[in-house]
Amino acid sequence: MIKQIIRYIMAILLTISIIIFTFVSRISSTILSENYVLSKLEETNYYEKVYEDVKSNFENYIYQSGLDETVLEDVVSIEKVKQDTNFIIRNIYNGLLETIDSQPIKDKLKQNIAKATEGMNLNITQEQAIETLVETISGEYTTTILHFGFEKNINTGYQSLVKYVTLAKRIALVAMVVCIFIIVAVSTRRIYRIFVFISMSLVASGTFLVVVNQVITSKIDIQAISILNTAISVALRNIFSELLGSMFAYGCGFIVVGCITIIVANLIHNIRKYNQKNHTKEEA
Amino acid sequence: MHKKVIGKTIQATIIHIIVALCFTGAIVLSIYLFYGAKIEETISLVSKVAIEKQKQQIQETIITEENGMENYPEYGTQYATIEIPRIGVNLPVYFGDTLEILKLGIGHSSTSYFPGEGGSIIYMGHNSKNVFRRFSELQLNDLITVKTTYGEYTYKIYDMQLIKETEVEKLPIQKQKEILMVYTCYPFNNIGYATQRYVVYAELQK
Repeated sequence: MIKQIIRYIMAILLTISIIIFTFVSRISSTILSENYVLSKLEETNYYEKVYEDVKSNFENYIYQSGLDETVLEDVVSIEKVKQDTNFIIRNIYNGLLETIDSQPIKDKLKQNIAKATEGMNLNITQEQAIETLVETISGEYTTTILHFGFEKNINTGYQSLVKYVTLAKRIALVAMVVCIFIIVAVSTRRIYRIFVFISMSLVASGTFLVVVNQVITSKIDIQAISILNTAISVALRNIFSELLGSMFAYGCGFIVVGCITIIVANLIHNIRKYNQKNHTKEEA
Repeated sequence: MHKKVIGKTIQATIIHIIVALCFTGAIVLSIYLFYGAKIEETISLVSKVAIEKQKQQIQETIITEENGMENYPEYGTQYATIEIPRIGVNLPVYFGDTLEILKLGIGHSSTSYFPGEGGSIIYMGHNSKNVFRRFSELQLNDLITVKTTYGEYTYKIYDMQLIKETEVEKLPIQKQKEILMVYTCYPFNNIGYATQRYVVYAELQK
């Protein structure tokens, strides 16, 4: 009886460990993985969308500046946007606080404006206004690339999150091993019970993952998530959908594997039991 | 033999699966009891961030105001045209004031009222050649006509002011009197970044 209680307690703990391990593993290999995020940005045409945003924001300043749109020629390229975006992502994932170099944008813009205003007799006020415009546009570029004003907070937050996630992963893994070991230790006489209890944990954790997935998708419209701008929103929607999708797939996998193992273990146990019974009868 | 063994296997399997589902139930229940409120809070927060609905929320905010209109235009759509004969302006008016909208024509600040509602209406446009470049030619008592999808409103200019871009108190939102405030960047023919705004105040005539 005590052994049976221990088995049940261990099975529940094993279920919790599997859930935590699966969840944490998925998080660390998706959102917390620099390469994964970079690949998603590439996949969702993030750089192109940001480049369009940058161009559009620049144009808006030029509209009110009295200057011609041609001053924006070659000021920024999609390569520069990609390079700076990746730079920011690396900053976040490596805890760095380096800033984007917007000097080339300023230089090119100044050069273009100088060409466009050649021959005009600009007064000091106009020269100052041009200086402010250049500063504002280059600042706008940095803002569009960064999107947030709290990069420093994200950097430090990310580092501690990674620490906790790694710790949780290790603890869950050790707990899984310990639970399985205890289940094995208290079931040495009936090996089928080892499989049945471990499988029950698999089915339980799988069901939990599927239920959580269904609850989240029914309450939150992932495809409607819209944060800051289209580029970020599309990338985030993609990442969240994939994360939830993989949780669902893992859940279904656990349920199928667990059920099959339970059926096989019970079948073998009952066949053995039946044969043993017949054998005893024949002997009698 | 087969029937008996299979029967027992099915029975045991069902029991084990039910037990597994009980595990799940127990875990879900425990999480709900301990973290239910926090989870609900987080979900509602994330749902709020799921803001394709942001546009609708802006509209809802206005609709809940007293004497609000029934059908507001969707954010970013054209719902009117503005005519200022003195400076030859006849431009589309869009609900919203993003930089994208200002590229298309005149923007209507989403924090202000609509024509006909009896409050402050704030319109803005670039000082570019195709928009308000000739704003300086406007005079007191000039007429501004706003033709909306639900009616036509004529306003008469009673004041003109030069303000700093940060002086938002000079564009007050109130609902005692219908006032149309139209502004653009100043100087009109500036080169570079404009830190001043030229505002035209007009009151409803009909």
